[in-house]
Amino acid sequence: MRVLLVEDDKALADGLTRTLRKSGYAVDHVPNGEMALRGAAEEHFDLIVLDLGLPGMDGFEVLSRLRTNPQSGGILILTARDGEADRVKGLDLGAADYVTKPFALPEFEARVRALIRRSQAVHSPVLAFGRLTLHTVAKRAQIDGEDIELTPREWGVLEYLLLRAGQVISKDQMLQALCGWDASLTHNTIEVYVSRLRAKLQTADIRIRTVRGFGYMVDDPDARSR
Amino acid sequence: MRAHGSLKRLLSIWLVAPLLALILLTAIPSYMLAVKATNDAYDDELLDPAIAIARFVRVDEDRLEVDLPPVALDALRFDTVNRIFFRVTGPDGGVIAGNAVIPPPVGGIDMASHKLYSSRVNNQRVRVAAVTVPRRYGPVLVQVAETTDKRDRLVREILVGALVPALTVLIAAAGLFWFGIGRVLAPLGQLRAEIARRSPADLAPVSEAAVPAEVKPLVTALNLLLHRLNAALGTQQRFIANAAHQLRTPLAGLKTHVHLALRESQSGETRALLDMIAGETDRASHLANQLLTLARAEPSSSLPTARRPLNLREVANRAVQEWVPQALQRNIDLGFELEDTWVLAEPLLLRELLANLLDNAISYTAADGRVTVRTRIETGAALLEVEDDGPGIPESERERVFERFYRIPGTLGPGCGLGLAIVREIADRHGAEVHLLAPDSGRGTLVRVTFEHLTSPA
Repeated sequence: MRVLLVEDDKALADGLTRTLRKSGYAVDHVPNGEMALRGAAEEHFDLIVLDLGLPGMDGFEVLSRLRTNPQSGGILILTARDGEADRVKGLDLGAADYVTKPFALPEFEARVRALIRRSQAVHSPVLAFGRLTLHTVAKRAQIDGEDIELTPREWGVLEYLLLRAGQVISKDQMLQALCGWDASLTHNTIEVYVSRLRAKLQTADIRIRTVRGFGYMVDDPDARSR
Repeated sequence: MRAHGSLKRLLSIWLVAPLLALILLTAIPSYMLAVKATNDAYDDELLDPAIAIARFVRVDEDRLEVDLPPVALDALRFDTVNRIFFRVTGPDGGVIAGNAVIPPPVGGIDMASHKLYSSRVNNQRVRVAAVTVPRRYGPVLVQVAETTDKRDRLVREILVGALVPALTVLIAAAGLFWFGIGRVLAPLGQLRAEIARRSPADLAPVSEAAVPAEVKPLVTALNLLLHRLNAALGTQQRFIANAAHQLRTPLAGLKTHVHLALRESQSGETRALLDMIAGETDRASHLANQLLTLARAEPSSSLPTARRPLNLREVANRAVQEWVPQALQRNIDLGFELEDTWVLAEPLLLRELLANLLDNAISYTAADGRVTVRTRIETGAALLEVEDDGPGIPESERERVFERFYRIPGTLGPGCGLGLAIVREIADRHGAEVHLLAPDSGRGTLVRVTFEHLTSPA
């Protein structure tokens, strides 16, 4: 996995580079937008971590130019600005997610993992979540190499939640994403699928947490507790 | 003239008082004219009886006599309104006939002529007609006097006839002045209302369009002042915002390195020290964030803000991603009871408000506790509630906890005592109220922020 880090603050760049390398990613660091564009044009990166407050070329400008390159993967924005408008503008310009400084390291890592996993899901058909393996093309799931029985609907719910592990997903969000294959989906039916999935995943280390009155969250199995 | 008082009243007084004086001044020649006209009219009537009496003065056996028939005397004595006096005086000054003492004309009177003059008889004002007739022993003076009742009445009538219309015009003019001045001063009232209506944060220039030319310099000066005030405030706000902003990147670097060092460290002592650094770093970041929020929420803030229709439910939804993982980490059940609840608010500030409430609730609730975020409408008000089952806030502390940097004595854990101060600042800025209540369960804290409910979201 290759990550391009675009950050002008030396200390922060150093810390983030170390963190990402420890997680097993190959990290290239550049301190400004011009070098970032040159780097992204030459090589493929699974993820670009982009600071918006760069010297020289404006961060938004870098972002929109990066998006014109279909080769590049997801873009995670780092920003010291917390204006709603900046966030919306960043996401509109094609950033996949954003983190506001000063962030906690685990939060940053969780977002990086989620983005990498999603870009991975496009390229590689097999995803591992601890003891659970998802075969995204065959739509099969295995625990310790053994198949578990899943209906297509259960599979849909599981895949949706796992690809967003570490994030809280609202039932409304799930309805919107999944009603393509089942118009009769309701909050109640989602609850039924989730409870069935919990029973089937008992032996895996996957834990689907309920967020009362809101939705669900799967603990990120790769998150390190410090 | 006093420097204060109603402009309308002053203007009215200054217009009406001189007008009244003018009317009264013109009444003086009117009066004199009326007196002259009245005398002209009645004097001839008074002269006739004097001449008639003179004709009856005869010389009889060396004596002068007036031989008036009784009927004529009666006619002289009685009049419906006036009292009539007469006197006939001989050349030696002796009274020949008459019923009163009538003063002689001032300056005398020529022979065989007459004179009309005003005088007093029995302390009453009278008009006198005097006639002299030559007789054997010298001139005989005949005087007839009548009281001025009739004449006074006529003068009064003439004066009233002249003054009443003038005073009516004056009263009408006063009314018109009052109304007209009100109309002319209306733009000033609008100006006042416009300035009074403003929120304390609004330092935008006052519109000069509808203002009369005379008031324009005042408005221009006011706008200049507002502009300078705005600029000064803006500089200060930007400085705070900038400082908080600039702190964020190095703080992010510091946090990252402390976390990395914690993962590397083997010795327990180093870990303990790094833990402390991590805690302090978190506090510093928190403080930078809070200061930035306060700078924004302050009533005088000139940082760009935009109030728009906002669903409190959406604000709560946005908080989920950040706060649920933190709550789960501490094994706190963070739940939501959300209804569509529209208010007019600044999204960023409202998010900050909820973040501060959640931060407090999660920090002060023990593991396995419960925190609930609620949005709902009750009796026409929009409510945002955060309820926890933590230790609660004692009644005596419920006002003090809103003070900046105040923390309840004995409070442990992170925090700088700005959270609720920020909540109140933001609420104030939105015209919302913050109340600390005890939840129905009797345990913990219920913070309720009451907004004006926006019934028709745009």
